[in-house]
Amino acid sequence: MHSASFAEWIIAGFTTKARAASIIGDLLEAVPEKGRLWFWLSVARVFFSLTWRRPLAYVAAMGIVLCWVRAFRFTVFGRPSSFAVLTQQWMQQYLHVLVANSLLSVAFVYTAIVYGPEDPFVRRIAIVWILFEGLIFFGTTPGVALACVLLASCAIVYSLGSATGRRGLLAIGITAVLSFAWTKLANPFLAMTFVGFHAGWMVFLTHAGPYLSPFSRMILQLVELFTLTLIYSGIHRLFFEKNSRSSDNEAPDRAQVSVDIS
Amino acid sequence: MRPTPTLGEFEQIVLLAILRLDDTAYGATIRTEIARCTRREPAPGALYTTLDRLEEKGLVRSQMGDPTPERGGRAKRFFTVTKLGLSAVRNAQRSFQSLLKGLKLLEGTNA
Repeated sequence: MHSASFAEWIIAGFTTKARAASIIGDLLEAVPEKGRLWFWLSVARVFFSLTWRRPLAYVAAMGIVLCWVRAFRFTVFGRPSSFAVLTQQWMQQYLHVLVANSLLSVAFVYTAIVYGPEDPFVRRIAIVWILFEGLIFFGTTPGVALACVLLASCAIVYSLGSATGRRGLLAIGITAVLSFAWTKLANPFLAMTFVGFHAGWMVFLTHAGPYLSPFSRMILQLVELFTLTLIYSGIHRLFFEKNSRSSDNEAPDRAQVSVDIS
Repeated sequence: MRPTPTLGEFEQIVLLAILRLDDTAYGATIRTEIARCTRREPAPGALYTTLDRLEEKGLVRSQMGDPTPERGGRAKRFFTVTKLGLSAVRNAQRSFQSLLKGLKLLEGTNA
């Protein structure tokens, strides 16, 4: 059944090859009894169940960025006195924090929907995101800024104490560097690819250069957001998708099972 | 030792089916066992995502078997319930038992 190989190829795009093969094998076993239509309907249902979270997460991540930008305009930009304490040099750093925070917002919303709130990657991103939010919205108050920096330092020191913590810290660091690099460096490349000329800087939040049409800007932002979600999925796969090998995962004794369920 | 996680209804059904099947628990047999015992055919998508989730939580463990011809040379993925999984099922069933106590529901008096 050549079409089964095609079905396996589709499913393997969203899970491991071994798992895809076993799923298709399971469905093939029932084909003599249930027919080909059932097989393809089942493949479609498996495909849907493996993929539905990603487009939802993508749309939600896009929505959170838009909401965040509006919230920022109405709160921080709404009280310009907040910036009086910032020198020109600090203002530049503040803008970097803004970009980093928008990327963290995308990372948090996307990973929380795809992997669930209990995922270790999601929890680590959430902590960093909350600290950044504190810095952005209340950072001009020295006490709050100091508290955020102290909490971040404590979290880093605590993470360095265990192998899992160090791996999580490394994952967050790579996420931050790759996201920032992609946003800063890839925008001109994207602009050239899709629009045909150098678009300049900061496509991500609001600016895409004065020469872009709203449609081109939207396409660039969607492509950029999509590639960011691919980066986050890749980092999650690399750092957090290994099965636990602790003693809790050992199979129980046969005798114990038979007594318990009898 | 990690804390015992709570289980959803379908997660309990899948874990119990794996325990019933013992050595022969893989996707197709789990689906058949659930259909036989509950008289409901589980959706394939729901079954496989639940199995993956249970494995991520450390409640089941899987290992690949040998390829067989009726599956087009594809290997079966056999599942076993871990100690943590067994503990989670036991806790869930105890909760059900204490809720059922005094109801006489299974004798049909309240039906």
